[in-house]
Amino acid sequence: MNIILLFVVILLILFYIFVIRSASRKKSIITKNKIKFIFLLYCCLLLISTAAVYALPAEDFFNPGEIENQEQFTKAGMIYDLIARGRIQDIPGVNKNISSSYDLEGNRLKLELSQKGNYVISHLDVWIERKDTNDGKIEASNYVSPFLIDNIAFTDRVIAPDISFHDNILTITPHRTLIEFFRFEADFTANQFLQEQNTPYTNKTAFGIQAVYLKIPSNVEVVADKGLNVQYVAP
Amino acid sequence: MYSSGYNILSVAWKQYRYKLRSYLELFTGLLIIQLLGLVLSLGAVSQYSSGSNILRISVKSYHSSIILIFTFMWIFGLSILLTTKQYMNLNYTFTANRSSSLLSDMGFILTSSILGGITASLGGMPLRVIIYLTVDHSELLPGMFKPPVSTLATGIWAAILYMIMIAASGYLFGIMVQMNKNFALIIPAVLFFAIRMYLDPYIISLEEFYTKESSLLLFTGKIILTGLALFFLSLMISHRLEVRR
Repeated sequence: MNIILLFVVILLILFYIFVIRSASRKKSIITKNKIKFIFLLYCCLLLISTAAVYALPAEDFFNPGEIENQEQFTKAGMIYDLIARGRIQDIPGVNKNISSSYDLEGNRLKLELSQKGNYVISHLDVWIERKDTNDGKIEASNYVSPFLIDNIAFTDRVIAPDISFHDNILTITPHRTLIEFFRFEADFTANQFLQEQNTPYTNKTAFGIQAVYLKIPSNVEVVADKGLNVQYVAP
Repeated sequence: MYSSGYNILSVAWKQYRYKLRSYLELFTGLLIIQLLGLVLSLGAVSQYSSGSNILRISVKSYHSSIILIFTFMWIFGLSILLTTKQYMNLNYTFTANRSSSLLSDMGFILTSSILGGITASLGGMPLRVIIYLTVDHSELLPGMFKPPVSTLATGIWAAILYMIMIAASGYLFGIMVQMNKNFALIIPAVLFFAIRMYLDPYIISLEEFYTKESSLLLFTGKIILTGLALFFLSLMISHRLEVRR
């Protein structure tokens, strides 16, 4: 289809060249000197733009994080399995972005999923680890595994959910982050010869996960909202 | 007819310089088409979005491919235009033959390809400046915003080579049309039906012979040989044309 479209465009250009241009050739309104001047001006604009691009400060550009090694990437992909076995802290590349502690009265904990903004987050993973003691404290943390698109790490841009605690109710309000990026690619004329310069982990894409991790006293009963996918850790 | 090679070259050089001055208006087409390409490129050439329920990322990609493709079309049209009667008549200003005319046309095409290749490849630079000034810098991925000079130079060189080959094809097409006007319909129709008749693999193989070549040196060799072959064919056909006239 693209070739046909190109063919049609070429035909239109040929039509322009042969019919319209031939008919209007005698009525040229721009003198040769003006053409020279305009073309030189255009060339100057291109050269100034080129110089400007290389001179522009790039410090405030988005600094993409890179995954350190293949092991980190692979293990981060096994996050579900490792969390379920209580080994979340052993996973390289998984970061804790919030940590808080609350005092629980009684032995019943209710988990609520709250919404903020227009976009409804219908489900959220919550892992619960029962502590060996009944110290009456709820320890809430949030972990994020690498978010990588085309080898660019966007993990830092993930906003941790708000966690609040009132009357034995732990309310989790997740946030959805929308990010728009702009990037320039090499022209296809250059790309054709640049294949060997690609990095070893080209086009690595991984949609990381966000995991709310709770440590609760051993005797606490948990009641959770429908949208919360509660899983118990079994070390 | 000239008997010595020196004379042909000397006449061709004079014709070339004369054509450069006379055909100057053709470069306004290059400027217009590149500015049009630049405007169209401002809307992002490609865009993709992906993510999960907590993070959605949209990446808008820019490059100067539209400018390059438009410039390729321009050189194709220009090379056909050089074979039309209106432009061919300029050759009669000099005591010349077909070989010197072809050599001067080759020179003009080469000059146009160099100018077109450089300006088209640098056409992405004003685009970068405009995007830099209009978007939040923290949303700009460094990537190829400042392409390495070697990448830029490679792109320019490859663009020039592509333009030479496209121009040589256009020139041959134009000469064939001058020989027989029916070719203006027959050649595009044959190409069209070749695609429709599932001859794509042959066309794709031919296309990949050039576009999949990752060695710049080999690519240069392929283009120069193809270009010379196409111009040689044009010369042969135009000689027959001259005899008929």
